[in-house]
Amino acid sequence: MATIDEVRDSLTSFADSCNENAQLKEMNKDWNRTIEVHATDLGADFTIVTDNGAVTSTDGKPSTAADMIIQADSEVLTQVFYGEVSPNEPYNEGTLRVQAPEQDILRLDFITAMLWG
Amino acid sequence: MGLEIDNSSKTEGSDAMPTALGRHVAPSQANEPVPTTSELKRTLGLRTVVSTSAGLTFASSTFLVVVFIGHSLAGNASWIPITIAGLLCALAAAAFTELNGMYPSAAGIRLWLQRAFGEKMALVTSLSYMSVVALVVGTEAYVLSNVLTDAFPLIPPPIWIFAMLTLATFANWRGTKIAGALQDVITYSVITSIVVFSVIGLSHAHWSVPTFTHPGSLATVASMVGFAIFLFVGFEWVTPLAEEVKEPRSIPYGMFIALGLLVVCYSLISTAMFAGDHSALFGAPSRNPIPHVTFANSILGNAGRIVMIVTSLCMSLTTFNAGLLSVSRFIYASAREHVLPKKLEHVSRTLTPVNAIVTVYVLALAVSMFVCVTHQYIILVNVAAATESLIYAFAAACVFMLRRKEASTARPYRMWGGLWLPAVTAILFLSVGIGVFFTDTGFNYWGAGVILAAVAAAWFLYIHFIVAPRKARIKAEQAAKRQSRRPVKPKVEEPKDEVPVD
Repeated sequence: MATIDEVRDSLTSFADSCNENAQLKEMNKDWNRTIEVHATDLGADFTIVTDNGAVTSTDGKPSTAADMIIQADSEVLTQVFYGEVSPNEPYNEGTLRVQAPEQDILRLDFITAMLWG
Repeated sequence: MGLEIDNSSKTEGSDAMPTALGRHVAPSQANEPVPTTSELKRTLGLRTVVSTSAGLTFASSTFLVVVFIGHSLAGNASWIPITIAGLLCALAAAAFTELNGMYPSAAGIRLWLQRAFGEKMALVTSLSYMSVVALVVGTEAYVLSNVLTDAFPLIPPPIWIFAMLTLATFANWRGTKIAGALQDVITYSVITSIVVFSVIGLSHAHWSVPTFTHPGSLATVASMVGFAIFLFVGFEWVTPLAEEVKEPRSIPYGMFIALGLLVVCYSLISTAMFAGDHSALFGAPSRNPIPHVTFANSILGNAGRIVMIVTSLCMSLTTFNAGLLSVSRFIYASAREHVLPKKLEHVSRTLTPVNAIVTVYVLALAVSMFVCVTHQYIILVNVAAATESLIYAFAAACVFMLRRKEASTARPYRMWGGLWLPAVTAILFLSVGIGVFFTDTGFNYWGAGVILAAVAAAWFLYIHFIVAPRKARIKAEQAAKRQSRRPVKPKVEEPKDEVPVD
């Protein structure tokens, strides 16, 4: 089990990595989404917003309806957002749940693929 | 059919659940996953769920099965095995609904099999399934190329195959997906076209169907049910839309309505195609890959032929789109989880898995060209019919296993019948699936069994000897990487107010 700080740090690390990648920023210009991240074991919520290619991460739930909701325990979330594991593995095991249109799930996976391979 | 719905998980503001699908169940003792109270933007309604579910099953190659069933039965009673197959698929729909309620995921059967039977079984089954879907796309390309050659005789089928697959692959590479509204238009137009052709066909035969209730021997009917399953292939591919629908119950309702529509459409068209002296038009199913065009031409002349060609194009469009899209995304996802070569996870500037798309393109092109040269399309249809039955058997088996292994996991929808109905459903589908290989002693039947067994065996050996060791090595590397990258956790102090235990 990870701590709230670790989950937060992993999300910040993910946002930073996206913002530092010029190619990714350009590709994501048309992909504006509000993503809610819920750590099931901690009961903690975070929000990732992609806006015009820029990615930000904040604490708490989004103020408006989310486009995507990601749920997993803190350890899985931390591993995924640090790029330690491909999201496909916990997703296929059922330990990572992503509620979103299929294209958005794929887009998020493409982003992690481009960041960490 | 065969479904209970737990209203504790329905969305806020939804109506009381009608009891048509079964009685409500008490809120389950859920322990995972913990649902959030957040709202998700949802856009799709029941109409689009129905059109997607029905639309994904429509394919030009389904008419080959309609004619095959019609030829095999003693009388004009294709509606009997078609209806039985539709009812069986309704049981499968109930199983898919329960599984998708437990684990809503685009990974679908891959995830459910893993939870129920472990990773190796899940990989072998899903990889075999996707291989067969690629074969179906190839077969569909062959049938449609013959339809288009009928419209433009100067252009031979291989040119059409190349052109259509290239076009579909380009659309896939661009990330084009059939939008909900377009899917509605396509599906409901196809349904209208089939019903109109059926009514005109029956009228053409003076509404005379004297052998409507004489299918022949029970064994023949049972074996034809296996083939009729092919008419419903893909109805369950609508489950990944679960997170996009306004009302979660639209998914099970949509699947059941779609199955009902498909039963009506295929029963009508099969009856019309064999009413009066129409049956003499087609010849053996292996000799005429476009019986629907022949039928339309016979009852309405050139105008009917053109309308049927357009209908056939619409039917194949959704098959190509869904087939190429899902197989390429599956290949990409498999590469991402270290099952297939890493090169296949390459993402293009259009944010599509370009290497996976090209792989499917080459596969589908090779299959369709092979079929074009050998004219062996019936065997591939048989492989697909049997495989789909076996996948439905696996889905029911997953319900059975997960009810034993994960009894406390939340189930918004629950298939009726405790453990026995999922078990019976699995056995029924297993029987009709295997029955396809023993329908006749011809190569098209036992050969289909050999192809499926060879595909599954090849994947098993690949998973066992290559993927399993690779995954074990990668897991160890990941653990080591985690240790070095992650900040060291601060040491947690023992709680001071804890009562010491002597």
